[in-house]
Amino acid sequence: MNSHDSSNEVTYKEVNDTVLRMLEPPGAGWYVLLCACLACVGIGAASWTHQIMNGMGDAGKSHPIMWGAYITNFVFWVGIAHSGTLISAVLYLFRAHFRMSIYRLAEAMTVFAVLTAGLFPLIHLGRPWFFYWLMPYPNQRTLWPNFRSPLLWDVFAVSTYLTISATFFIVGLIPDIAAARDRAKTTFRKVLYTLTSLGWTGSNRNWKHYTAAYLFFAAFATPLVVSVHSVVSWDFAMSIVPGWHATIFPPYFVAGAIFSGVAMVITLAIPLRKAFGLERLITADNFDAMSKLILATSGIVSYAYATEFYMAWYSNNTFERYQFWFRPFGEMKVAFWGMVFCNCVAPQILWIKSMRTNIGVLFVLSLIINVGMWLERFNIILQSLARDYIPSAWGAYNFSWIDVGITIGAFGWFGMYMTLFIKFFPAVAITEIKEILPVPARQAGHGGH
Amino acid sequence: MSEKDSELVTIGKSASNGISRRKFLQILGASSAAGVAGCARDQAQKVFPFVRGEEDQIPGVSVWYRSTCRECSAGCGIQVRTREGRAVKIEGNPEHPVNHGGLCGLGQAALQALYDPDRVRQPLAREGGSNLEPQFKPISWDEAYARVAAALKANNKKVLITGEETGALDELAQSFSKAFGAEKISFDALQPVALAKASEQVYGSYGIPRYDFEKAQVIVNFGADFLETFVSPCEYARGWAKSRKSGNPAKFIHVEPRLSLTGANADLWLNAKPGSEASVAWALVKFLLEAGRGNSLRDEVRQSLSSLLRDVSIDAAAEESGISADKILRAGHELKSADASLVLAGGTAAATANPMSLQVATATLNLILGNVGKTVLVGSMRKPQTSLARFSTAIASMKKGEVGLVMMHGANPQFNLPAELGFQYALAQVRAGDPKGKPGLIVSFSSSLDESAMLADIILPSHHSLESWGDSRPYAGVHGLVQPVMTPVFDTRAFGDMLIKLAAMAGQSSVAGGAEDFLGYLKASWKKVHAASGSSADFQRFWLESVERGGYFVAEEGDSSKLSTSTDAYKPVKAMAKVGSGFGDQDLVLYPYASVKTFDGRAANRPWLQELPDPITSYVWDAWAEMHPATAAQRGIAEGDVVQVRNKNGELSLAVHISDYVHRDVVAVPLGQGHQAYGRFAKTVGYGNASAMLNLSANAEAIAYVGAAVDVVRGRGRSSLVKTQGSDSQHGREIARTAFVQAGAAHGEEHGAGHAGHHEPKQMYVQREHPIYEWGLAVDLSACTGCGACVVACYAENNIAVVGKEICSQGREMSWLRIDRYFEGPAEELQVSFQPMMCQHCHNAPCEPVCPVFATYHNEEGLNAMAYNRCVGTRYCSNNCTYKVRRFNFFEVDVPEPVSWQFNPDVTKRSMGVMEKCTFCLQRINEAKDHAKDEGRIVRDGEVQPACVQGCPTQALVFGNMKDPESKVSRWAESHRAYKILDHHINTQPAVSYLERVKHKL
Repeated sequence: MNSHDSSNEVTYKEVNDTVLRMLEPPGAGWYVLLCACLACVGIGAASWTHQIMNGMGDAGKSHPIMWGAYITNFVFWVGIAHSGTLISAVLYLFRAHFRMSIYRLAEAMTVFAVLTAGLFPLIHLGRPWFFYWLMPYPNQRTLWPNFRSPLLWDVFAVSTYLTISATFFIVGLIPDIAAARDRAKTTFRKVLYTLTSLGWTGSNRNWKHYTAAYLFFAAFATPLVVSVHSVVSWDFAMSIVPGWHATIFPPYFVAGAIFSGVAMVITLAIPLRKAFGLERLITADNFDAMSKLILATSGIVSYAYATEFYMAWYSNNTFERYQFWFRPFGEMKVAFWGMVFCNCVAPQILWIKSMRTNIGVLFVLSLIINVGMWLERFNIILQSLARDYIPSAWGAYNFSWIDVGITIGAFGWFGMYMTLFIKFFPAVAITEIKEILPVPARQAGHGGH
Repeated sequence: MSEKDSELVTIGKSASNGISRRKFLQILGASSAAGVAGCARDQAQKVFPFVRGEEDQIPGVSVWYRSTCRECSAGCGIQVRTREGRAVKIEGNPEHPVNHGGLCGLGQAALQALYDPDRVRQPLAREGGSNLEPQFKPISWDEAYARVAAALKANNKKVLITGEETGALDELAQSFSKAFGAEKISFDALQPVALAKASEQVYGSYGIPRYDFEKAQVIVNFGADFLETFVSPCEYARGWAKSRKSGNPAKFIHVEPRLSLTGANADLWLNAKPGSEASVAWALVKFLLEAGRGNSLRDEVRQSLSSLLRDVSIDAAAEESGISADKILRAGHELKSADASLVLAGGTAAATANPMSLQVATATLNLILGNVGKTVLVGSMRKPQTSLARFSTAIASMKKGEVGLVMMHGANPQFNLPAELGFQYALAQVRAGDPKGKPGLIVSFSSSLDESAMLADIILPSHHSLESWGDSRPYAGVHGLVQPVMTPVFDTRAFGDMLIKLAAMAGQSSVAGGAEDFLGYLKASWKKVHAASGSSADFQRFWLESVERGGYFVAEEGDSSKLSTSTDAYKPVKAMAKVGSGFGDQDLVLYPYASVKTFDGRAANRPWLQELPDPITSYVWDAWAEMHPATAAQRGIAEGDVVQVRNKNGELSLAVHISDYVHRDVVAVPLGQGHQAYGRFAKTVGYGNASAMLNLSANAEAIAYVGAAVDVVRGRGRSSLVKTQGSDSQHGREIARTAFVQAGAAHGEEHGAGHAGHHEPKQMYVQREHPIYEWGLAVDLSACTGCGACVVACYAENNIAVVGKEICSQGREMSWLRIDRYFEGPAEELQVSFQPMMCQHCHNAPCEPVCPVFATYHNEEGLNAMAYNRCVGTRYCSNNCTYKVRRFNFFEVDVPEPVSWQFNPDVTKRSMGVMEKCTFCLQRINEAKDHAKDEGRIVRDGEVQPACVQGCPTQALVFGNMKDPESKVSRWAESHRAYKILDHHINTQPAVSYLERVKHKL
């Protein structure tokens, strides 16, 4: 925020106007986008239906690669979900001001990404109709899930994360919804906002409780940023598969998650900014800050890749060594080198300041990073399974249309929520942006609160 | 998808990755409704209890019947488990002197011939259709009998073609033929007739000697695939394995142009130019004579041999065969210094146009090495009746229109004979009739619509051997009985009964000597056995005891025969010693080989065997052309290219498999694929039949399998051969271990590479307790030949789904037990390891902690148990399984009736989306525990045998309670050769121990 640039200051009114204009009746473009998302969801639903009817064999999995595109997608979306909480909670605690303009978007992205990620463990089950057997619920058979299984930890980690991030997201929305309520023109929106703003009046008492709650949830959510993806990484690290069984996995996964999440925020923010003319709210400086975060996490991720190779060599373990020979030189080497390019090489252009604020470059780069992080999970999951202990059992993955259809469906599902969200709720935090603006002169002030 | 592929997947669900665009769009459109449709999967299953109880049948209790396997002429004893009147499992008869309890995959898969959905279900008569695609219509038995009887009464030449039969059925067929003046032809494509003739030349008596592999210290083998199809594979494999299991295994040198399973088990495998084996064998004869062996021969024989072999030398043989002179010399030295050795020749390698030279040379080698009476038992030889020469004469006669009636049973000459013989044309001439125009009749008694039955006018379907009475006399002293184990599946009749009935209808009721049916005839025949046995019991008792035991077996004794005067007849003849392949200048010769998968083609209709990976190439459901890399490169052919292999007699269209283990001069193809009929599992449109392309040589007694010159040209496209094995190399991981006998160490107990011997490492955590039982398995890799009998046994016992080629191509075969096969070293020093790999039932199993729902867990008997009902299908267990032995049900597989009748009622059929794996045959453990509990004791050692352990022809596996230090499995696990796979790396503590393979470095 160029909040201290007094020559062309953003005013409270402008914030309200700009943000709440986003909620006005949508144009054709929005409907096209929504239909495209729904079509993708349809493809995904059809693919999953086919798979349920016909069998898991519809997907590309086979012996020995029993986890494939679905778990890759799961880890990818959980990773995406991370930066939201990071930006909203951790950076809040650190008082990093550049978060203000993008945190709402990041939080929404988090909730919807968790909703997307949460589908994959179901899709990936051989018998998805028994998914509830993974929950510890009292039953007459006194059957209990196996608390030693990392998959069960996953169930708890992801559901906790969804609960907390959704709560945090909704709490943060309240004052802004109230602002929208006050300007709502249609009955539907009036009712919707009146209900969801929970009777917000903007009183001092409201604000006191709000800020206390917000701080509390921020503190509550912060450890989850680290824990959730650590737990997800244990799905792999707790196993004995060469290429999975590594103590570096939790920090490596968390850094990767932030890396991909920030990239996803950029991917979403740039078109949004363009479409709704938010250039003055989501500024080049904000992108500069996010670019630095990308550069840092890219460095951590690259270091983790190098560490994996070093440890494989240093351990003198035949199986690890073979696995890490296989990744760059085996039959799936394209995925490996693609990952290296996307995650390690391409972000290096961000060392140049002009690149960090070049919106076009950033947009392309963020897409590249998203691809790269998908490939990273692909490499970890599929390449490791393809070459483990017994050479006679080695095998390959065959991508199927169902894999592709469900992956498309996931993007559609996520996109559908995002598209609906930006038209129904303020996608940029009105209140928090105002916090970092200079306090307006009395006569000009008829702001939202 | 090619037509060929679509034929192959009929058993499996065709849907998979290849969802058509149309289907995808359909589903897309109906996605909202589809969730509802998904509920329709579970269909009601009806169970019909017996309305009236059958005697001896208690629902839920198995009834076992002993019988004799009729799948090949070896005559192994079997015992068939029936449940509620249906045969569900075939096992070897442990009391039978031929196989002692083991049984090859072909024998075990006989059930799938019994339950073949494409069997002939009632008599059929040809009605229209073309010659190649005839139409058949059902007729009544009365009409069928009447038509054949009428033809029998006619006064013209008749031909009766049967398989290689022994015993009462053969006697009856002889008597029947005699009564009607019919020519009786026996035909079994793989009978080693030349071997029998060489015995006559050298030992003085026609027949196939028995080989005692156990006693041999050195085995030199020219192509005889005695671990696969040669004469009596179960018996020979067992003898061979006994020697391998002993401290000091026989040194085994194998010479052939293409690596067979038998060759893969050799200590030294020598790749010879096709047809050159005789030159090596004669060079060895000369070497040994010069080295002073063969003193027992008469002087004149030695002199004439010496003069005949004047031009023979090891160097010349080396040049002829392409084997280095050193290696031939090595074989010579090994033979020279051994007290007892064994030289044999057979298989495709020995089936040249001039097979006698090699066979006489090997027989001569055995003679001069003094093996006759020690390892080569000539006193109890089976005399094969197959004679291609007689068959050729009969065909010539048929072609002339002289034959008015052809009857076929138990043989498929149309598939197995070279096309040049013109069997099909000959039958067409029979149908066209004699010069007067009276049409002849072609009758098939086949139980399936094979290529020969398709040429018949009338098909009178016969019982499968599991539905009929009979006997088998593979060699003196063994009288195996065949008894029906269940009521016939379809409206068929026993062949013997049909012959008796037809004879009676045609006015020759004396054929059966007064017996009303074949059982009566059989009993009459067994009265002679009873009389000869000197048994004091009356016949009825003797008969019942024999039926119960599976036959009457005279106690095995040493070879009673002395080569008294008979060898005096041996006169080495120049023609015999003629060396050279006779087709040296040709570019490429066809090398069709019989294998454990398809045999000579008779096994092609068994899904278990089709889905069993080929032991060498690891391909399933297919035929292929194996070529040497140099040969392929010369022609610009790459792995997987489709090639046309052709000569004037036919054409094969096959995908190429490039292998270092075939000779440059051959293109090797598995025999027995490329059926154009014979049911849905066998029919493979487009491959072509290799047998049809073979050469004919004048007066040949047997089919010359090697010698047909072929061209190989690149065809269009590439084919997807499906291989189940991942990497062919074990990358130095010491998974399948081999130890070499140290030079100078006389006894095996001293050898070993030193890394074997399992030592329990110190454990950090409290270990599991196994109060009474701790089940364990041990596998002696020395004895494992890689034949796959255990795999077939596992399929049969555990209702494992056969999924078809396409699903296999996605890596989704369901086999709980696989044979891993690793090649190490260059072709000249090839070492092959076979390793049966099943669930290791780890005590520290990686699969168990990762299952979120406890579907897999450890039980107090040391089993890694699997609750199918609880499994939700996360497949994490499989990812975390070190040994990759868990199989996931990717699809629901439909099994056609009556194939499904074979299902073991004690084993759950797993549903889609569920993980499954080896249980150590839990149902058998429970059955044994029930028995033990009734008797107030614990299970005795050896009382439980999982299907793989029971079925293994070489008894390479043992199972038992590791808590009992005296149990066999405990003792094996304590062996200095024992190790557990990867345990020292990852501490999985498997319950399966492997004993290192012990080999000689030659």
